[in-house]
Amino acid sequence: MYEAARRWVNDALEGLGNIGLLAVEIVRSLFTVRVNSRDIINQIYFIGVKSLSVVLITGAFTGMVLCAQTAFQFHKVKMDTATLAVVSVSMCAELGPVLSALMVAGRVGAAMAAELGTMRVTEQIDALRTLAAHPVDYLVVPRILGTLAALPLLTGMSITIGIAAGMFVAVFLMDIDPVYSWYNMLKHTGLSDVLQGLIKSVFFGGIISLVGCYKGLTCGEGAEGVGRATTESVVIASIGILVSNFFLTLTLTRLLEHL
Amino acid sequence: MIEARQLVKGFGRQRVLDGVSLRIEKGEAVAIIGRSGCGKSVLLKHLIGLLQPDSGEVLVNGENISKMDERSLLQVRRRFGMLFQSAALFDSMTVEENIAFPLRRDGKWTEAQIAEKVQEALEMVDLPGAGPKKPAQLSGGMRKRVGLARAIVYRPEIVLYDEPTTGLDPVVADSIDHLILRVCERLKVTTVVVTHDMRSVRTIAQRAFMLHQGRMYFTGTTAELFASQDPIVSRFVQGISDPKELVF
Repeated sequence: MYEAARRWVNDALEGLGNIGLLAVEIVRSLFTVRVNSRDIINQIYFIGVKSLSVVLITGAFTGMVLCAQTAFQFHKVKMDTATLAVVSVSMCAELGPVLSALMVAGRVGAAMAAELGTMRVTEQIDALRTLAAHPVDYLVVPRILGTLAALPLLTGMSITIGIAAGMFVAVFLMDIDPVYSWYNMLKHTGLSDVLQGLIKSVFFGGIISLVGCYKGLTCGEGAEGVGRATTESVVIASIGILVSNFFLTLTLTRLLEHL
Repeated sequence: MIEARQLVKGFGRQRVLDGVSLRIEKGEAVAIIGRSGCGKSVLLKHLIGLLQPDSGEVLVNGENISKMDERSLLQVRRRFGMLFQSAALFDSMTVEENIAFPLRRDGKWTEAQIAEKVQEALEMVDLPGAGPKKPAQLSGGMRKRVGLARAIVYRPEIVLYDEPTTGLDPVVADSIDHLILRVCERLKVTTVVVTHDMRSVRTIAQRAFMLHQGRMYFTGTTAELFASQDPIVSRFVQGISDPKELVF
């Protein structure tokens, strides 16, 4: 039991150290190697456009259920017109960025780990190295930049559709006054809430792509190794998103409170 | 010239290379042979810096590459071409894009020059017209040919082959052997072939190195290899198992 715990801690620390080294290599590559813009655009298309439907459906139904639940509770204390304000602040600062990131981690993080893992087990990564191409320059950096660019855009769209769907539920299903709802929403939702969500999404994009690429590049042999790398990339990225979200909320709320 | 000095490499508790040394002169064609799992491919990957030894060193034209970081190694690897056992073609690209990859990465060629060089490489491996195909549409032998075209398109000084005929039928295997010979003669490259196909050794190599239990067991000309009376060498050359040993 003690031995297993010690090994788990050792592996976790080694993994963190290796991800740190990969991050340093990525930064070095960003400053020394010219990235092919076509590779980045391809990644933005794959990560952004191809994830759009998943993220929009998640955002819309989250906004709708949050609105319905809040309206039921607020109705008891005659605060119905504050419902949309709660939906708006929650979608901007928490639910929009976190749920979009979790969906992208499941779709894109897993795909990155599987694609790079397959390339590793079929010696394609070694082939890249023999052809004088650094895997970080050619495979990792475009994926990192693509995710960093696409996730804030997806988050912005998720927030917008979530609030719109919430408004629809509030006005047409809950019979809440649209004018007061809109007024209260604008009164209680600040620039800091929107910025908080977008800044978080950049961090989450970094976590998803870094973990996905790391797991792919270091995956074990054979189909089993690729399968394990894919699963681990989703689990680690999801936990990373949820844990870092707490600390980001504390930090960003203080930093942005004067906006 | 490539030289390995006292290479030691282990994976976990298993020591795969245990003090292996060899020297390959410029323009030579050599074969590295040995039983499956004896460390031939591991040795080959050390020669191009894909693996770093636990101890010992690898010198390429006098330059020690065993202590270099990955970015410095990229410059050294421009002198090398390598054909992998599985060909390792990029499956998201067409044959043409695969062969053009190293030229595009170089950034000093126009698209017209790249197209011309790709065509030339495809003709050298007897695959004109295969350019638009995807790797998944190719047979095993064709994949190896494309892998070879990609490895030689930028005119390296040294070409490494990792089991080039494994998994191919005897006729295709023979055609790959002759292709390797053709590349070696036309481009005047140093050739290092890892194989356990003795027909390939006879066709291609001037000298042979035999690895056995992590050590260099035999070094000599191909004629000396085939004439050797050493029981381990002769049994391997003739493909006869040791009755005392269970081999699966």
